[in-house]
Amino acid sequence: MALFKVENTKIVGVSGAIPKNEVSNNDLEGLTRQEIDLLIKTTGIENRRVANNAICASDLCFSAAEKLLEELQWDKNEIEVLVFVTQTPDYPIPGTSMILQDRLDLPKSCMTIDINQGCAGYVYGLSVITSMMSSGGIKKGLLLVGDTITKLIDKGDNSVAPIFSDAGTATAIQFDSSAEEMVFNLQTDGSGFEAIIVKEGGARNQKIEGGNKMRMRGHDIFAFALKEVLPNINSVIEHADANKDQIDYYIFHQANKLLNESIRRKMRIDSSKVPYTLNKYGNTSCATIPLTLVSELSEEARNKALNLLISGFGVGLSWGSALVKISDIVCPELIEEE
Amino acid sequence: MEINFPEFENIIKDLFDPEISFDPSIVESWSSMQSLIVVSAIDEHYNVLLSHPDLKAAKTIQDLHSILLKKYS
Repeated sequence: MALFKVENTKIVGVSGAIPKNEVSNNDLEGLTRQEIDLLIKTTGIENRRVANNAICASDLCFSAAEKLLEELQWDKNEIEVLVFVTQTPDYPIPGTSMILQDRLDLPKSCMTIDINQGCAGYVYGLSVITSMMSSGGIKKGLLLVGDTITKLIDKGDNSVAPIFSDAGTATAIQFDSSAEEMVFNLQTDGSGFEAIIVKEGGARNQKIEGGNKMRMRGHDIFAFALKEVLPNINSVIEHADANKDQIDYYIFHQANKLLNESIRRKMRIDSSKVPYTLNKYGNTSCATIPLTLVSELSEEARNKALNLLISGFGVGLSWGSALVKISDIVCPELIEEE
Repeated sequence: MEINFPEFENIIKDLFDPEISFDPSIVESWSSMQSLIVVSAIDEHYNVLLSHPDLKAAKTIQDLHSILLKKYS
């Protein structure tokens, strides 16, 4: 079981960037007013941010990283690892993390990795970068997590178009031998790989007929998450020898409100402990967890210690949760990219 | 827990706005969104997850109730 603890690392800053272009689900075409109202009420998503053709996930993450590094006053030459989590890289080849190393003016001594992960991507990415830094060889690292997933959406497909949105984030990680351990529980069920898929454009189906658009079997994803997320979270809490009352906030992947509220009610968590950004920013794929932290909890994150339970679940199928303690972190205001 | 039909029927009907012009007892008429609302409610009330094929196999909520009874037992 991929249930493990990581010592000696801590999050010292989180930032986020979103496209300025706002789209409202009230303006959806092909649906009646009643259908739109039901959709907004059920998903919790009224507005979304959609990047124009010129903006990629890497651009949003770049802006978030520059702002964060400026406020942290880090010497870029001290950053030795950059992990970039996305499903919308700049190119099939090369990886985008290498391009970001150069754009951010990080030293050649900085190693870089791309991770192809979606809804669970922040938890997976955090586990990778902190595990690499835990032994102390690397003292400072950047985790960039973002998607411009709307580039893969068929605007006429109302099973996905009203849900997805774009964002990029940056998280700064630092080695600290006195840091409190992070606890992770990561899981996979590849038998469900077709539940959310872009079938064309990869090596298996190179020909792009009608565009490489994302398809989602909503029922399958919904049922998977209802079944798997709760026991995954409970295992993390148990492994950490913690209890639910000790957790200040549960930051769930912003999938849709119906699903997230079902999980919350089954866990018997008070609604005040479960922040949402669905209404404002929709489902931004791998970026939802850090985006929600920056958007909804920045004031507290800057000024006090918080016990956070983060949980991501979706494409893959892949899911994971982590217990993470943060304290007085740098958390700049959310950036809006033109 | 007993799953009697009147209670089940009330749970389903309470999920939908009575002003919406459709018959909630006809499963075939449900939109994908309405189906997910029902799946979520049944999971919460009975701790039973209905699959997509389960919903496809049901024409009416009587059929769905029968499927639920089989999965619950």
